[in-house]
Amino acid sequence: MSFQKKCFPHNTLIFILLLAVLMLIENTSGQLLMHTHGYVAFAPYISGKIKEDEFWPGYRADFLTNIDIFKLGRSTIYGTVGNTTLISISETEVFSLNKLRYNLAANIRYEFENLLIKGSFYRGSIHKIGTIEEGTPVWWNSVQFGLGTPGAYYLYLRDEYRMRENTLINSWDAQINIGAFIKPTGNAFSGINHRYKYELFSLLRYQIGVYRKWASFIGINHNVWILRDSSTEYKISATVNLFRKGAVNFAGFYYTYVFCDSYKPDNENKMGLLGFRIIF
Amino acid sequence: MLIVAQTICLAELLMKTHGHLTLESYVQGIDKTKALYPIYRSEAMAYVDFFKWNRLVINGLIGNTTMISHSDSMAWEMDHIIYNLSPGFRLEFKQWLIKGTLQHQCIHRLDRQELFIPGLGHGSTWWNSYQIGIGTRGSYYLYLRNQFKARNTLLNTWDGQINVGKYVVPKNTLLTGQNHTYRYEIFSLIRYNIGAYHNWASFIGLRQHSWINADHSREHKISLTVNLFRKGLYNFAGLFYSYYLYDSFTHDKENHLGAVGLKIVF
Repeated sequence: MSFQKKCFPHNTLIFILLLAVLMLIENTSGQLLMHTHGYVAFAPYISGKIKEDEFWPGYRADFLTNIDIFKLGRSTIYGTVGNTTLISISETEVFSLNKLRYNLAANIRYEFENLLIKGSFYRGSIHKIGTIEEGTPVWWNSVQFGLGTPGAYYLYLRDEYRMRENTLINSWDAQINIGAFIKPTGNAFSGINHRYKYELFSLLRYQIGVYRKWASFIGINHNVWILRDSSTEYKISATVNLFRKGAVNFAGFYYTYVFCDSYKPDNENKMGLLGFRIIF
Repeated sequence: MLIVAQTICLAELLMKTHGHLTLESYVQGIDKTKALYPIYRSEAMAYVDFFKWNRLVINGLIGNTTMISHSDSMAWEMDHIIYNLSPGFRLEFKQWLIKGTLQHQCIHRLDRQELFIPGLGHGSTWWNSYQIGIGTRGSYYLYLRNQFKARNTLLNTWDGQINVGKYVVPKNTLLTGQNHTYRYEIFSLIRYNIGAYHNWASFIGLRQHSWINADHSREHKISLTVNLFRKGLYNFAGLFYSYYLYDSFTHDKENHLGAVGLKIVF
C-alpha cells in the first residue's frame, strides 16, 4: 500500500473532524474564544554551574502559550503549546544549543470566584539537539488534575495588580496538582525512556505589592516525581519577581534559585538564574 | 544614543503580544523512498510590541518551526527546528505599514547529527539578515481580523506586501552566520480577501520568497494557501490548505507538497 493511500484518508479525516468541530461550535450556546495567553522568558544561569563537564548550562529560554478555545458556562477548554531550550557553554563555544523540551497539553478549567479547578492531558518530551545519545529522546504522557486560587495562575496574576498603585498587597495564592503517567510502551501516546509513575507539584505565591508601575511577588515551586520502583525525585525552587505593568501586559525580571533538584531529565540543582519574562 | 533614550522615555510600554500558531499535516507529494519523509510541521510565532511612540512601534519576534518526520521504525521523529529571534520596528499609517527587522534564524537538527553541507562544514546553520518591507495593513496577521469585521459580505479586496533583505556575510560567529551562502532575499505576499459569511471568513494568499547566493545562483519558494477561518470572541482560528508550487530552498524544501492545517491567529 502506498504512503498516500495509507495516510491521505487519515489526514483528511482529521481535517474534516476539525471542520465539523468548528461548525458544531456555531450551534452551541458556548463561545469560541481563541484567547491566547502565556509567557516568554530568557534567563542566564548566574550561580551554581559546575564547569567540570565538556559543556555546562549557560542559558534557558522558555516559550509557553495557552489558547482558550471554547467557553461554556464556567468551563473553558484550552490547549497548551510550549518549549524550553537549554543552551550550554563550553571552553570553545559561548552558545551551543543542548536540549529542547516540548510541552503540549489539552486542558479544561472550571472557574469559581476564588478558586480554579484544572484537568490536563499533558505530553512532554526532551530532545537532544544535533547529537544522538543513549536514552534520548524522552517523552511522556500524564493525566493531571489540580486546583488553586486564580492569582496562582499567570492568566489572573495581572488582575491582582492591574488597577492598583502604591499599595502593599500582602496576600497569598497557591495551587496544587497531581498527575499519573501513562506506562511507557514506546509509542507516541504512551512514552519512552522514562520510569515515572506519579507526580505532585505545587506553587505558593506571596503577593508583596505595587509601587507606581512596578509589581513584586515571590513564588515557591515544589515538584515530586514517584518512579515505578517507588523511589522519588524532587525539585524545590524559589523565585523573586519584579514586574513592570505595560499598557497591555506584564514584563519584568526574576531571580530563581533551585534549592534541591534530583530530577534527572532537567537537573538544575543549586543553580541560580536571573531572567527576563514577558507575560501576555 | 540620546535620541534612543529620549524615545524610550516618551514612549508607552505596551508588552502586547500577537502572532500565530500552526499545525499542519502534509497530505500530498510525499516521497516515501527517503529514509525520513516529512509528515507534520508546527509553527509558533509571537511578536511582542514593546514600545509605541506615535506611529512607531518597537517590537521583537520570537518563534520556532518544528519539522516532524516519519520513518519505517518511528511514527514521529523530530527532524529539525528553525528558531527565529528578530528585533524590529514598524511604522503604521492609515492604510500602509512599513516594517524593518534584523532577522536571526537558525536551523538545528534534533535527535540526530547536524547536517554536513559540502563546501561549508559541519554544525548547525544560522544567518542574520537586515530586512525592510512595505505593505497594506490587511496583509499582516495583526490587522487581518479588521478586514473581516462585516458579516455576510463579499469583500473582493486585495492586500499585498513586499520585503527585501540583505544577509550579513557569515564568518562563523554568532552575530554573522554559519553554513550558508545567501547574500540577498526578496519576499512578498498577495492576499485576496473573498468574504465573510456569519462568523466565517475566507481568503487566499500567494507567497513568494527568493534567495540570491554569493555565486549569484538563486533559490525560490512559491506557495498558494486557501484559508477558511472562524472569528472567535478574541481572535481568529481556522483551517487552511497550502500547496507549494515550486521550492528550491536548500534548508527547508517543500517542493510540490500539499498540506492541510489548523492556524490560530492571536
